[in-house]
Amino acid sequence: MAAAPAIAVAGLGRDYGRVRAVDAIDLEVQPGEFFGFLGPNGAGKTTTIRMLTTLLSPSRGEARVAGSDVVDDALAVRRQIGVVFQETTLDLDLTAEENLRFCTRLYGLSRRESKARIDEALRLFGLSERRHARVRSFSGGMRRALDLARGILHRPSIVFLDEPTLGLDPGQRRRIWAFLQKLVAEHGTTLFLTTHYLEEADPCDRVAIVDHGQIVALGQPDELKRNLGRDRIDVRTERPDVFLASVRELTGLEPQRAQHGLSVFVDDAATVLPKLLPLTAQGAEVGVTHPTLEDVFVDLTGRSREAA
Amino acid sequence: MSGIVGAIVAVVVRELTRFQRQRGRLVATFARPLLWLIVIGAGFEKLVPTEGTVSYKQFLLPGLYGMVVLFSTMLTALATVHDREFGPIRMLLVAPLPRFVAVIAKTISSALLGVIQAVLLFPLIWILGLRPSLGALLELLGAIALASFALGSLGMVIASRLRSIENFAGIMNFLMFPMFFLSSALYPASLLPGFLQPLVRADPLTYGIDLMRHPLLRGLYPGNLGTDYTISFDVLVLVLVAAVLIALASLLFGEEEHLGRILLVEPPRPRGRRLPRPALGFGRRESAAAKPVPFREASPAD
Repeated sequence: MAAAPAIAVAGLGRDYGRVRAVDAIDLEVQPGEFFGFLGPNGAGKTTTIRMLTTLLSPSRGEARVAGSDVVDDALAVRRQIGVVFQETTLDLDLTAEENLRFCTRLYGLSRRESKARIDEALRLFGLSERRHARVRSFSGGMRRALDLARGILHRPSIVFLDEPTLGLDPGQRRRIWAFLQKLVAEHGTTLFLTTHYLEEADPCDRVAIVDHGQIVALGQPDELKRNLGRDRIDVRTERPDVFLASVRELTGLEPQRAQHGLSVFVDDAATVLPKLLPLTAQGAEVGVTHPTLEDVFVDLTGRSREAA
Repeated sequence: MSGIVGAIVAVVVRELTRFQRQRGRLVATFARPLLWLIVIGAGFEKLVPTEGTVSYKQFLLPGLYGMVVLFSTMLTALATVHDREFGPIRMLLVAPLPRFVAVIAKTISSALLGVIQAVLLFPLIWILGLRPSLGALLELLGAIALASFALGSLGMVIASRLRSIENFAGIMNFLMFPMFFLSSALYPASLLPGFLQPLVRADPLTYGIDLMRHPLLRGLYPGNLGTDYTISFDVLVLVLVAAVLIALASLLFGEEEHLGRILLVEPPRPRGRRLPRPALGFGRRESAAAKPVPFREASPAD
């Protein structure tokens, strides 16, 4: 028997006054799936998470989380979910342990259970030595780790994470991602996570790319990239405008503007690359690599994430 | 049920831990009322006519307890605005608990902090020459608790409507100070002109301070500095105020559109597209949602 989806959303939208933050979103997330919700700032990611976690009621459409309607049966939804917000919800004047204890009390865990889980969470995130230190003295990465620990302390079956790696350095980001993958693998937890670091989302089982409150692409990261072509040929130059026409002429393909200059997406670089070699004589560098999720996004929206 | 108690304990423990760590707040607890007692007390003593044997400062003392409670509960309300956006109250709102639990938990801790701060100033009773019985002291404690709870619930209604703590100056100028000056904390309300009397009576702090004045001035001859209402009337008003405001705050606390719903201005949610019910074999299948969007069609042609 096929399992019911962990998250099912149909035509979900939300307006703030006359501003349409989320237009109409349809998606299904399966139990145990690691789902990435990607898009630029202001695409409606946080609004969607707020609706799915019962903090905000939708203007239209429907959403069911763990089989329960987010509006009609909000309490049943909240029993199944853990949420890690974009902004920290820690109390800076309390210690790490006190912050976690606040949460175990909230979920009515017994004293013994509470202690065991707090010990485990602190160890898992490498915070055991700082358990009696006030959170005010913590670095950004440590605070984030503690936020994460608190979001999963009650062992929810579905965890929502809004930009869990925002503002962290690459090392910290890698650690958070490694932990999330472990959570899915070991506990079968469903993860729904937003990020605007597109390049980070490769470990996701599936990703949805959102723009202007709508899903513009949905699929496995590899699948999305394959749709673009297996190879990406980069023409590195400071003057992309000069080379735009000649790339188009030489390859018969529409080049995409990128930070390094121009890119074309092809299925087999070996057949196209030789055609572009004359450009090296004019001062451009030509190289082959693979498409990234960032490329998928640029292709779909016609703009780079930074410009968005 | 155990979850609700657990949540209230969680919030109360957190508030008390914070209070005990914030030394500045503790200092302010003592400094503000003492300033009023010593400076304002000395000045007003010369201005407010007395007919009985109660001194002006003895009359002022319940007013100061009222002030402590008012400032404490309103500051807690302010902190709640921050907590809801960036703090632990946010955790409470996604925990499997009804919204009113957040309001009740916050009101209880707010009231508790008000009581603690007032009790820290209890030595002033003896310093000012009052000699209440133990029973009267307990009565005073009860009066402070009830007033704190009523004002705490008012604070929650305000917190549920405030979007940012920047509005606090407005709250202070247009709510806290008027409430304090109209409440008979500083002078008998009978000294105020007739057109202000309805406001005096609409001010919950009036009844709180009146209720505190009963046990402290009992057995003395206060003349014009006595109480204005009976104990049972004060209690009735405060209980009603607390009940109504907690109910209102619970309705308002969740999210911004709740007020619209109460005023019936929000149109019903259109439900054009419905998800299939789980009973109808809601399983893993190719749904419209999983359909990949066609690529390459819309390459920018600039």
